[in-house]
Amino acid sequence: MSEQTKSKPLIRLENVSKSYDGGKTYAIQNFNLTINQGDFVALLGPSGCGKSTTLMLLCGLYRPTEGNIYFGDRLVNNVEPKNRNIGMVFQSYALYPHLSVYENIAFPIRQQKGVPKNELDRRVREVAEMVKITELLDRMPGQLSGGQQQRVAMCRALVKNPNILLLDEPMSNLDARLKLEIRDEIKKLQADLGLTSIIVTHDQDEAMAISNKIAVIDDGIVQQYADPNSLYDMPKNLFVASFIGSPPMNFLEGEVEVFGDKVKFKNDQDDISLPLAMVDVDRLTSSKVTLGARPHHFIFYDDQDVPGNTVRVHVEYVEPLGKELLLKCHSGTTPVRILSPLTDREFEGKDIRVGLQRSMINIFDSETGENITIR
Amino acid sequence: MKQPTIAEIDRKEDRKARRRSKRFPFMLMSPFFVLTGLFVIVPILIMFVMSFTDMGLTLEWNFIGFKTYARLFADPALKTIILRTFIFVILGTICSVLSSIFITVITTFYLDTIYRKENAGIIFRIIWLLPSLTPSVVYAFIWNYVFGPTDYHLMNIVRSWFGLEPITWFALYPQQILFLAVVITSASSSIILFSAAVRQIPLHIIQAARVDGASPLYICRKIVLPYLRWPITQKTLWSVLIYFCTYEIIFLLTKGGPAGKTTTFAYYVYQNAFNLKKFGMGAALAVVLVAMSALLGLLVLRVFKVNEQLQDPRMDI
Repeated sequence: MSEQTKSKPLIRLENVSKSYDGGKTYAIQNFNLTINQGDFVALLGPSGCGKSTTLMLLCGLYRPTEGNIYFGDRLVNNVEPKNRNIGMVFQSYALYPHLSVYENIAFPIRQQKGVPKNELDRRVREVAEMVKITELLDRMPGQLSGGQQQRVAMCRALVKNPNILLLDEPMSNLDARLKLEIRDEIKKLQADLGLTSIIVTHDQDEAMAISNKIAVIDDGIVQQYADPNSLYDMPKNLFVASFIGSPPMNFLEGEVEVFGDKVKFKNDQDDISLPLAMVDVDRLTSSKVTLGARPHHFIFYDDQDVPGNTVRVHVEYVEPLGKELLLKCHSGTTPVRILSPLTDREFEGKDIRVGLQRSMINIFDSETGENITIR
Repeated sequence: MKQPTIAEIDRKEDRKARRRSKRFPFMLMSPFFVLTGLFVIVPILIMFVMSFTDMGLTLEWNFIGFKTYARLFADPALKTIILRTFIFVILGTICSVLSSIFITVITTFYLDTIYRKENAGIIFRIIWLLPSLTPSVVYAFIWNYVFGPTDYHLMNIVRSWFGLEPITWFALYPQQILFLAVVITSASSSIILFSAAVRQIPLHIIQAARVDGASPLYICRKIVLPYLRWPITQKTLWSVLIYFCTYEIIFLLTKGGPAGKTTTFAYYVYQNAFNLKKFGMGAALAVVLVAMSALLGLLVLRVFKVNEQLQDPRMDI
């Protein structure tokens, strides 16, 4: 938190909209985002949500249709990419195929007039060393593996000492193990250099692991902009709740009634009473709500000793995940996934009652999709 | 009789299937083989044999060994024609390749990729395609209209605007006009090839270069031109071979004149064989033409280091 108070906003997007067809449809609309110096921000969303458009607007390859983009106090709407001092890593790496690795990395420096040869050489080698590709400098890009190409692309983005680093799905073409490795390296590099970075990704694990702030985007709108933990614990609406977390959050539809200092959640299957202080009843537009509970927020009881406030589920089958069990169940017709600690108990094909960790669940208004839980 | 075992039957079937699958591609290609053999290979062989005769109007196969070749090289006019042909081929190839690179870069790279004016680029390219799409007779007719000798031909009309007298263009500048006509057609046809190559460049690479601060000219030099290396090689080779054989546009525009000024080797072959009906001589000249173009073609392959290009892993991502 002290970090945030210290740092000042570096990038501001104010009501930015971008349309490719003259205003008929918008890739992003009324987009607002403030990124502080030193932040590592992930733009997370399903494909086609406008996250790549946002990155293109930031690097200056696209111009906003409406709204303003500021770098510090400078309005950059119409500033050419080359004058923005940004480094960018593309999804396809976009290495120049006819230039050697060395020349690829030297390319941005060669565009800065008047850099002497030995200075250029020193900077290329320095950054190559940092990313550990010194031995590849003489190769051609076509001779490199995906991971090596990715590193070269990183070098090329970093060599000009950019103010901002933009990463467009930089790891989507790597295999799972390499992904983890590169992810750690990028995170470490970013922290060491204190470089303000923005990563576009559709992989929520990647976003959670690498960034200190995540903007969840859907339909060209920022759904929620927060640090990974609050995004996970207090998703602002149903979209964010369903998008973040794997296995995803379970949703039970029902209605609420207020009884004194309790709120009763009710559907065909179950009755669950919650403390009134937990639900912001003033924001309810109707009595219809959706109860969201993450798979590991369920409590198991012995068959004999089941208290109230439980959900009755039918376990279809059990998937052993090694360290725990994933129960695939149904509550009525709604699919429910529950994580259980390893146990000898037979679940498969049985009806069981499970409790909820009530302090961890979220209540959403079914009409608006907004989270109306109070913590 | 002993029944064959299942293993034997399998082996037999396998052999049969393999033979069939080996034959199949040749069966598919057989029309090609027959047609090429009949209309290309056999005539070439006949022509080669014919070059050792002094066949004339009577079409007699009268073998005289290398005498036709001796006579051919003794002809003092031939030296001028060969020199003229080489200048025509080399200069024509250079001009047409360079101009088509230039036009491609302007229309496909600058207009389409950098300025995002796709429609302007397409319209410009279509206009540039017209010369190579026009049948050569029509094309020659247009050039005849433009550079005709009377008051009513286009260039003379233009001259009249400046109060100048009409001139006989084809008599004064036959080589220049012919050269222009040939280069424009050839440049026009290669624009398709080059544009396709430019369009193949992944957009991300050009975007990356722009983020890196490269100017369009620099991107053009360091990224676009290397991508064009292979099509440029192809086009240069093709141009060399085509220019050696150019004769119909000469026939339609100048008939090799005036005073033989526009007679290239190919047209000389045509004159000998079909105007003078010296078929033996024509065949010998044609063999020389093939030898010359093959030589220059091989030189092109060497200059462009085609072996290297073929070995190179051409990275397309």
